[in-house]
Amino acid sequence: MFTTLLLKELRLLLLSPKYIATFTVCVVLLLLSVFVGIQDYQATADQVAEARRMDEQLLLEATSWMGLQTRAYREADPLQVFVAGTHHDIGRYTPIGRREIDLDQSPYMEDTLFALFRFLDFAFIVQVVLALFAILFTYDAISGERERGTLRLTFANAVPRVMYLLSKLAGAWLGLVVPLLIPLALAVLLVLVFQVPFGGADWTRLGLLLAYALLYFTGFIALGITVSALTRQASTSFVILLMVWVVFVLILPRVGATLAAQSVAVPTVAEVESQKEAFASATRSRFIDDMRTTLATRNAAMESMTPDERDAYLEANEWEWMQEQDRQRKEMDAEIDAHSRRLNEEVRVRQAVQERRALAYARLSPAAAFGLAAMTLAGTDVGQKARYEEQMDAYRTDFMRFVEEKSGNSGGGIQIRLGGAGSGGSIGGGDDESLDLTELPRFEAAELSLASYINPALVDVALLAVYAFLSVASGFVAFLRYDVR
Amino acid sequence: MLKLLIEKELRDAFGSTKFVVTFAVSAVLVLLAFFTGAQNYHTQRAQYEAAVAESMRGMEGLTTQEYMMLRPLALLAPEPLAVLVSGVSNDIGRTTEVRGQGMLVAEGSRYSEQPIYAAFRILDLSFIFQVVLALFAILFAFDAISGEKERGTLRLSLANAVPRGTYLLGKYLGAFLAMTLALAVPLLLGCVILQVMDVPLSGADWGRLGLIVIGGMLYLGVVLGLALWVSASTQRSSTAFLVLLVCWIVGVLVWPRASVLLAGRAVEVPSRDAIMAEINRFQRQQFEESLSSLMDIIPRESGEDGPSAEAIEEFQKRQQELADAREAEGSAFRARVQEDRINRLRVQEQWALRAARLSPATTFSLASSTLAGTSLAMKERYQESTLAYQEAFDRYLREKSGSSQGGGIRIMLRSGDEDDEPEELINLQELPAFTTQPVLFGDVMGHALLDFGLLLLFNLISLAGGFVAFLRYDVR
Repeated sequence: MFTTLLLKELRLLLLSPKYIATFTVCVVLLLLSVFVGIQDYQATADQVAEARRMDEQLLLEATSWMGLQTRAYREADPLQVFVAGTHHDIGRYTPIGRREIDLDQSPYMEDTLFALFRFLDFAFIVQVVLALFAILFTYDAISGERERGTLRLTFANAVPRVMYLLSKLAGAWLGLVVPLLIPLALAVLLVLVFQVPFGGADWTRLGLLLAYALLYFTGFIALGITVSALTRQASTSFVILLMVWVVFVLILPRVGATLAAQSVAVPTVAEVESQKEAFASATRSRFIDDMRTTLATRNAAMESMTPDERDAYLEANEWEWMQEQDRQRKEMDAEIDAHSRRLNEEVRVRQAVQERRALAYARLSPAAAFGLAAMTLAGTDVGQKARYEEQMDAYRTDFMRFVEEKSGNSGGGIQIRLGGAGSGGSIGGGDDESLDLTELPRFEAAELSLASYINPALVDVALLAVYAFLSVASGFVAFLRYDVR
Repeated sequence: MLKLLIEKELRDAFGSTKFVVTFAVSAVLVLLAFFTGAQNYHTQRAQYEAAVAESMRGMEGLTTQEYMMLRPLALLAPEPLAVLVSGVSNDIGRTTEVRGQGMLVAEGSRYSEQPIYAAFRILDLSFIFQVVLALFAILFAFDAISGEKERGTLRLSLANAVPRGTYLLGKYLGAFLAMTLALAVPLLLGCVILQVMDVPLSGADWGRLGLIVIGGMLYLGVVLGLALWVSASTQRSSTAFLVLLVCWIVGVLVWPRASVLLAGRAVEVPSRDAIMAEINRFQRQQFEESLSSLMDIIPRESGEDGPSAEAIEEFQKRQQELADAREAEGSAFRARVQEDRINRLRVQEQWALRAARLSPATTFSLASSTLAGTSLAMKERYQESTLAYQEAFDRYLREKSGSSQGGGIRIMLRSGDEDDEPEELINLQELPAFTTQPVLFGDVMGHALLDFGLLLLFNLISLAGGFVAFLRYDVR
């Protein structure tokens, strides 16, 4: 019985003109998106490799450990072919050196042309287009059959309502899975042909992405049937569903973010930077004042000595004084660093509150839940920036420690020691030979475990499941009470 | 006759639940866009002012010996229209640390600072017009011809002495008028919201906002015309809707993105990193050269108090001359290596936008962002403003301290007796203030003219197509 019903559904759907239209659109769009995604991924990967090579070259040309600096780059994740997420909005690199970590210069800041209309990726197509098609497939499932009078005829036979509805669900679901799976299979081929480096974990993530997508549009298919079972006319159910789609997919996520932005004020980076700068310069000038006073006391102590005594006194104390000065400078640096970190922490906490609110509002929509889950899975989520900055900060500490060891100086900006008359000058403690960089630590982004791609989005997946379950359940309830005449 | 037809259309529209529901939703959205836009403006303004104040505070306490350490920030101020049509305003860097000379790099875009908004984007007026209202216009007009035919009313109407052309024009104007009337109320209320919430808009700004709305209505006109055309080319309204939905997906969601991505990638642009590396190398070389050349001219100690005041003055002068020469060399080098990239970027932009403009949605989007001053030109405008500010700042420095920042390394010499003088603080009031070049009405109008012309052309094409299709339509 169920098979007969299902076959009838599939036959009806597959032969309808709307199916051909949706199928073509789906195939073309998905292939296009993956093609564009691969191009973008390769461009990003090439850019990172090229930039690294050039940095390496610059390092080789450096002649002094003093003030040595380099950059750390954010790496491309192969899954960004399918889910670009915030990849284009987050900075590409940070300077590693005296300056603080600041992941800046996002791809969109540099190539603003591409920011005009944003990106086209698999997640966008599923989120927007496929959801619309799910509605298009199901809006007349019940009310349309009623209008045509076929619903009455069907129920003149001994067909349980539950089974009828199940066959409707399964028919539309299978009908929509096909235009998703075929281009996705082709996309996998494209990925292989273009040699995007997909490892075992990446394939698992891709599989999970597909699972999320299925879960997401199951909800929309069931929602379509529910509304169809709540209305008498197919045209009414379509208008209602279209409104629901517009609100869920286009409006709620944006409104959520916009409202959250207003409820919590987060200071801008410029503001925080200036605060840090002000603190740093105040601390530095205090340090210089302290130095001056100690110098003055020392000079006063030496005032009454004879030149010989003075030399002996200097001999005895100079090393200690230098040590002390160095220690004080380190303390000052640590103080400035700690202050900056505290400020950063404050901003991060506020931002987290804001983000939580935005997410809470936005997650009312399954489209946002799907988007978030997909981005987390691809590693292109909202937390990407913080994650990278944390790693880069750790790297900076290593880098600075290494450079300090090599140069034997903690460095307080550029120091110039003028040599004796006529000898010219040299910068810091270096000579003109190039540096031995073999042991210099290099930045490598930590491999994330599979769990860290999944766990943060468990809420979203659970929400997707709840939305799907709710719409299926309400579909049954609505249809059991439906007047088939 | 035409008037009668239009009246009928209006009566039909305002009587239908579909119309009332969709336009109630759009009214809520438009009001929300204006309200959140006004609030956003104030938040951004407050943040901007705090950042400016902080940056001034950071420079306080510098003495007149330390002019070389002045690093004012050129911050891009929020603009009232940018919150209604965000364009690329959230994607471009908004902070530039200005040195007296050398290259300037803008940092910190809003989206990179707060990626959560990049993930969800922002609900603004141009999005509502471009995406949501276009869909509603389709929903409103897809059954204009084929639906009447299905209901049998088309036959009845044309049984009277109604020319087909007039009938179609009546449909078009009626639908257009109904949408305009339905949107006029929330739009006007939105303007009141802007007024009440104290968003500072000048007369020219209001003019630009008006033009943006007119552009939006022209765009909706194109959508309506297209809907009539498709409706007059199909026998069943459900087919018409399907075709239009596909058109909407392709025209609004896909074509703008795909065309820019494909056409943009077709033009090879040298990476910024390569250029930056070259500039870095050059700067390092310059730094080393400058150091050794300074060593040659540094005054040797004469007497117990170090070099005499005249010797220092002489040295400063020579140092400045060398720095200026190097700076000229440096900026010529930078211009040379960047020229190729800039030219190629122009070509890329032209190709991509030419291809993208085939979709009316893109045309409207470009027109509205140009008018709001948030198009690609915004980046250039900000860059030019920072460069102009750099010049002003450099002049100020030369006037105050007699030397410039840049041109490699500087060596500060002081003669021994200067130490006893009381240190004077820099008077920051005299520091030139950064202002962005204003968006000139005539300027943006000139740039938006092409897009307005295109929108009109699209209107005419869709209407003409509709006429031809309707003349051949089988009304039975």
